[in-house]
Amino acid sequence: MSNLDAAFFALADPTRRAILARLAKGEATVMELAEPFEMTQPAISQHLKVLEDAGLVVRRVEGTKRPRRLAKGGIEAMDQWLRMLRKALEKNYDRLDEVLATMEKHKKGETR
Amino acid sequence: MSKMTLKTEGDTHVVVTRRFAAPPEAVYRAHTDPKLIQKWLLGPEGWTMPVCLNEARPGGKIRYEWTNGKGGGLSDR
Repeated sequence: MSNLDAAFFALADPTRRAILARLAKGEATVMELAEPFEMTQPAISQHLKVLEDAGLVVRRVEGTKRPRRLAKGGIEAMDQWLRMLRKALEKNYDRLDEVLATMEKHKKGETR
Repeated sequence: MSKMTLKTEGDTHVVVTRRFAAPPEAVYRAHTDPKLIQKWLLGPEGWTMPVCLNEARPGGKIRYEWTNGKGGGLSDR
């Protein structure tokens, strides 16, 4: 799987999206992440592994703790791909502006 | 022209908002007349829409096909 495949696959799960949303507020340990989800720590760790393999989450070593945070690069790669789509959509409407301007011109031509 | 905004509504809807300097009837026509749709609903640079069927009435058919001229294509109906 390419990184982008893995990243969007990782997002196709509500718990993993909730984990990312939580990490968007700042670093958290597995224990802190497990708390609001009513899930066992191993289950959360499994989800974190998917997110880490997809390049969306990284871990840091702090004594016995392994706090996780968002991986900027992985998030940006997804954002860049989505930006391409957004641009294509904007481009459509810029072209539509031109089509509408031409229609208006023709209409004026007819009534004259 | 005003900027386009995108907003999600639930898991399955995306609401696109954009203003046009044209009467609503013209904007509607540009969304339903295949000849006009083929001029603008093209997506990224280099793509065209060789097939466009849009029968804007109950039970009418709709079919859009795009190509990038290099064997890449997709359709929506």
